[in-house]
Amino acid sequence: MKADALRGHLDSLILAVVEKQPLHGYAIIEALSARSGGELDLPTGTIYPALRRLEKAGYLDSSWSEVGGRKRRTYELSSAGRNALAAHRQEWRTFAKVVSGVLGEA
Amino acid sequence: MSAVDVYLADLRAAIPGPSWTRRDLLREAGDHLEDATAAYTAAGYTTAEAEALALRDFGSVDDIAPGFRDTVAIDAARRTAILLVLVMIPQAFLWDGGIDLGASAHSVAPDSGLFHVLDIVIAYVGTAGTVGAVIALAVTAIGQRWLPVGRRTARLTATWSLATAMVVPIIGFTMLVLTGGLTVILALCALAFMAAPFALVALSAQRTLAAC
Repeated sequence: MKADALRGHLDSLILAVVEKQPLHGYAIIEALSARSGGELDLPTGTIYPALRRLEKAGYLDSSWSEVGGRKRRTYELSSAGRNALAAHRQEWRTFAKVVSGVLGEA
Repeated sequence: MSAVDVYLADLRAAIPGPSWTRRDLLREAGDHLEDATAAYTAAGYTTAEAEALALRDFGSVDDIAPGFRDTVAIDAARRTAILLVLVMIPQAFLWDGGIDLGASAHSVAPDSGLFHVLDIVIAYVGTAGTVGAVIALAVTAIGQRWLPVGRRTARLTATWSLATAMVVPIIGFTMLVLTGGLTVILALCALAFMAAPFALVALSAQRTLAAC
């Protein structure tokens, strides 16, 4: 799946992968890749501006912590991020149901 | 110098502007590339191959730099807006409130048309500058939830802040001179409480513009 197809959804995908536990940038990329079955095809460097944007928007909190013996900036979901993720999930379910209802008639 | 080092140097060169946000982003990028290289090396690739694959996955400097530049510029704009708000808020107190520098120069406002015009202009410019800075602050922070914020917003914030930081002190000093009671102490107060803080805002705005 190309980056263009992901436009508008990347933020929600990032919020989803840090939902359970705080992760650093590389771990977020790995989680995105694993949960998409390797189908996400975007330059991994694009994730860092997105992480910073989500943090400034109040959806993520970040802190420097020691991971594997090295200092890493780790990101975790804020309460506002949790609400935004829940809202996006609901929107996505409705959207998918509508589109499936039409496309599935073939 | 490894391929990753060369890449990070090129990326650094492609991101102008204040160093603090850029340093953080580049550190994260460096950590990422180190992890990715280690993962490919563990999978059996040579170090050179692993670095090449990690860099391929990360994206070319041409692809990645615009996003990093936006981040640096928006962070710089947010800092400039915060600084402008912090500098503007005490100005009313300094000039019309507790300290009342204008009245210290002359207990009665001079009967000059220019003085009255400037008095009105500085009130509007000050209010507009503060309101604009608060809006810019909101847009470059929580506003990113709903609005596509990028270098254009950063440039607008910086230009607005720079204009406010230049116009307010010029008008302020002119008004002090027009009172006819300007003393060395008052001039020093105006330098300390007005010129110096607005100079910091102007410097921050220029850094933001450099990041755009």
